[in-house]
Amino acid sequence: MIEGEKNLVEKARKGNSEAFGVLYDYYLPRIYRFVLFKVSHKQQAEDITQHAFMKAWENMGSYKPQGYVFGSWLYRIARNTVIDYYRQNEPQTNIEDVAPEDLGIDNSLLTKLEVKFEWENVLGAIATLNAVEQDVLIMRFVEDLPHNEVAKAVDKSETAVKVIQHRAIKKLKEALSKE
Amino acid sequence: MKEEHIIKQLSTLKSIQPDADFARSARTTILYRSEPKPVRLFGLAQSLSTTLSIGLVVMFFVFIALGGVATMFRTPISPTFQGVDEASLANEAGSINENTDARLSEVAYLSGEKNDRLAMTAPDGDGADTDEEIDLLLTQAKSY
Repeated sequence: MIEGEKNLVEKARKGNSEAFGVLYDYYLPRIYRFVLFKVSHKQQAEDITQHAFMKAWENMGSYKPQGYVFGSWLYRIARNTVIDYYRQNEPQTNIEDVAPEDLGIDNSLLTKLEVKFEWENVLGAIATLNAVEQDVLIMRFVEDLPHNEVAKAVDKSETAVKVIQHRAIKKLKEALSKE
Repeated sequence: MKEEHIIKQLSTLKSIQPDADFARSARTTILYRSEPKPVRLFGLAQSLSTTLSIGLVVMFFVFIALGGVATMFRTPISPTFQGVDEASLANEAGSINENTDARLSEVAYLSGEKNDRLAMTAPDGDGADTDEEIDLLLTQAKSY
């Protein structure tokens, strides 16, 4: 959570674009990564991310801070935007067929062949999980969100999130051991 | 591959960043080409829908309560439909009763007349005397 988030959210709710801009800068990489892992396509991920933030900005007035962390609300919007996108368009690519470079992953990290190979494997294994398992894994281990925030974002109980996380890790382990 | 290693691998994916040009252009588009929807309208619609829901529930309970009261005050001979005239129904029922009584007395009268006729045609208890009289007359005729 960004410092002074409550204050920024309150200002943004009243229509302050500067405040929303600060929130956008902080959350953009997180939401972008989340969407990118879901759609496996850089251009689509950019479009969906922009659409999700636009929806968030337009509906800032209806956001109720009580019991809902702003980040969870954004993830929820992003998640629904991805679902809407897939309702209207057929998935075009599989993450297994996409190299990390195509996803916009920093090239400096890919200089070592070993690292590149491992990333490709991990991305491919994530693609074998179902949607909610992907959501939980990305939010928990890529974005370091606590269980309660993940639970709010995926609209499940904390216990359910823990179970999904355990199952997802197990599946990921199996998928990686096959490769 | 161990679980810890997988988690470590996942956390390295954090280094993925959106394109700087995309981040800038999207920011401009979002903040300056769109604006938040007015909250008042949303709030008003929400409060209206809540009021409407509560109103409907209250009406439903009033309807049930009225039905209950009407049932409590209804006597067994009360007409089922309010449009039916009680006086004309009573008159009609009375005329049907009178008609039925007249028919019953007619039946009683007719059955009494039939019994009388049967009594007249039925053989009486002096049959034995008549036979003796006939026998006597025959004996007298033979003696001549």
